[in-house]
Amino acid sequence: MRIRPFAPSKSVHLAILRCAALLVPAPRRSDWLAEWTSELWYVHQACLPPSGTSWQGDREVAAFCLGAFKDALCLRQTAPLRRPRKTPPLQSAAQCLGSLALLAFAALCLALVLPGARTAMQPSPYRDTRNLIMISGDRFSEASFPTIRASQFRSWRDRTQHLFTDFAFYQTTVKSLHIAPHSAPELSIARSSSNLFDLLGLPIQFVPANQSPNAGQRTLILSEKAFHTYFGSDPQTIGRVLKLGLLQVKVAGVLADESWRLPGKVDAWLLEPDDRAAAISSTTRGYVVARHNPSSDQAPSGESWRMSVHTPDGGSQDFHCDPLSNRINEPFGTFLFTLFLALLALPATTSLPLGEYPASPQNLSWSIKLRRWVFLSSKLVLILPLVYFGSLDLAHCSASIALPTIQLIQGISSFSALLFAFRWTLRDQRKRCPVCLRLLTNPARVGQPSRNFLAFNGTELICSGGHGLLHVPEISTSWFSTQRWLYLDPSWKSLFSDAHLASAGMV
Amino acid sequence: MAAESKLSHTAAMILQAIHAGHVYGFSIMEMTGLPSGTVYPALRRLERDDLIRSHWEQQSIADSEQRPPRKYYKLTRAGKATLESSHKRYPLLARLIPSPEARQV
Repeated sequence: MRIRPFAPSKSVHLAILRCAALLVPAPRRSDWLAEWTSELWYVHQACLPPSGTSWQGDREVAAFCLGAFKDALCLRQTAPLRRPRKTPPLQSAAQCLGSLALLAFAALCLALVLPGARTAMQPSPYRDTRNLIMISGDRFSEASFPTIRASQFRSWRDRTQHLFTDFAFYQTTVKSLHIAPHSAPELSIARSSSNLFDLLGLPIQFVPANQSPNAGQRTLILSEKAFHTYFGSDPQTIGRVLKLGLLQVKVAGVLADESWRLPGKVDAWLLEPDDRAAAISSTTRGYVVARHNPSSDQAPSGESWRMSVHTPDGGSQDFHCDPLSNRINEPFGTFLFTLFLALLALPATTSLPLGEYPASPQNLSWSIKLRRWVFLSSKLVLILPLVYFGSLDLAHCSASIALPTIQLIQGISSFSALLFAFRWTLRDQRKRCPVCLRLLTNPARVGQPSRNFLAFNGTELICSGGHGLLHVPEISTSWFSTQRWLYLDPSWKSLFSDAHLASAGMV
Repeated sequence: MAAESKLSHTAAMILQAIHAGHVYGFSIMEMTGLPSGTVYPALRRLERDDLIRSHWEQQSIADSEQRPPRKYYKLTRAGKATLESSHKRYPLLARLIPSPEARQV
């Protein structure tokens, strides 16, 4: 017979009991709940009037129901503890590979979420990146601040060049952009020569078809973020004439956020026509990007170099020339370099042999032998993207970290993680059964250190599937230098469960 | 006897109530005045210590009376012995909840 709740309060009482039942150990839950629901029916009969409600009665029933929690907790505490079977993590080959794949995928997802990491993974947005050169003062080869005077830029641009075919200049400053009568946010503006985007080959979005962005007047290119934040991504913004500081500028387009990878955080670019760019003070320092003449053989292609040039005042000055390709490809290049270093350091930090395995084990098919190597290779292959994306995530976890620090963090983390991961891969492989690839269990100390030269002294591990024993010597000797695998013959089968044997394909 | 020496007054009272014929949880609550959060956990402990035994009422009997079946509790031999020794420790227990024999007398 089931108790049918016929009042809302009774449904609530039943719900309380069901909640309390969740605390009761599963094997006793149904009996416990049956007893309490049965008792509840009698409590209802005794405390609640047949029709209508009674505040006092409801209180008594509620107190009765709340007592169920105490009973449930008591049962939970007194129930014999069932210790979960302790299974080592990553025990089976599938678990191990699945976990690595999951971690690599998580690292990739995180890299796609972090703006800096996402940008670093994308290909170069610039046209002809290899021949685009960032020129900076000689003592500031990794300059993240302006080092070139505007007068120097004009001198280079006006002189006939053999080494470079074009120059562009920009300097960052903060100016108020008057959007509306009471809206004038301060933006970080890159005041630049009109050829900056042409030189870089960056596509500008929303450019009106009948109008060039550099049609003899000051034009403003907004970053995608500023366009979204201050103009709500309204296409009508393009073509508007706004006041930037004291200057009248015309909004001429929008640049995608990921496209700008040169030094300086910029919200908008003010493109100065050539005649007005002359108004930039000669002593103003900025950044200079130049296009290297591919036919010139005076400078190494794709590498950084120094050049010495005459200054307008008659002296000479050294400058550092750094191809943009060096900046764009650095994350993967850093990773490859640390991979090389980790492979060099690996033999010095751990032993490489995977152990000795008898040449003719009983009934081992080629597929089983091959599976072991495929497993090792898969682990190594999964580790590479895991470490690459993980180090990228770590390096770009904060947007305020400078480029040299990013490279340092990525390099150190990538090298450490690769070395650790390779060591783990080899050690993990050595601790696995060559037949079923499960982790070996039940390590047992055998022998005594004092009898090392007379008998075996080391650790023995066993495969839970009954495939064999692994002897790991405590001290490497000339007759027992590395761990040795001993296949167990079929007479041992009866000692092990069929399930494990089936999982290994041995029965 | 370990269980005997550790029996609290509440547990002894519940044992006495069962002995007196109050053989299900709510009846014990009504008789002793103890809340449900005390009576039921005590019943679990007494059953765990083999002082009482529980069994479900037959479904047919409950159906015939149009009510849900009850879980009844009954003293075991060890429970009776423990209760007798508890009477020495708690002399007023038998008077507080008189057993059927005492009522007949």
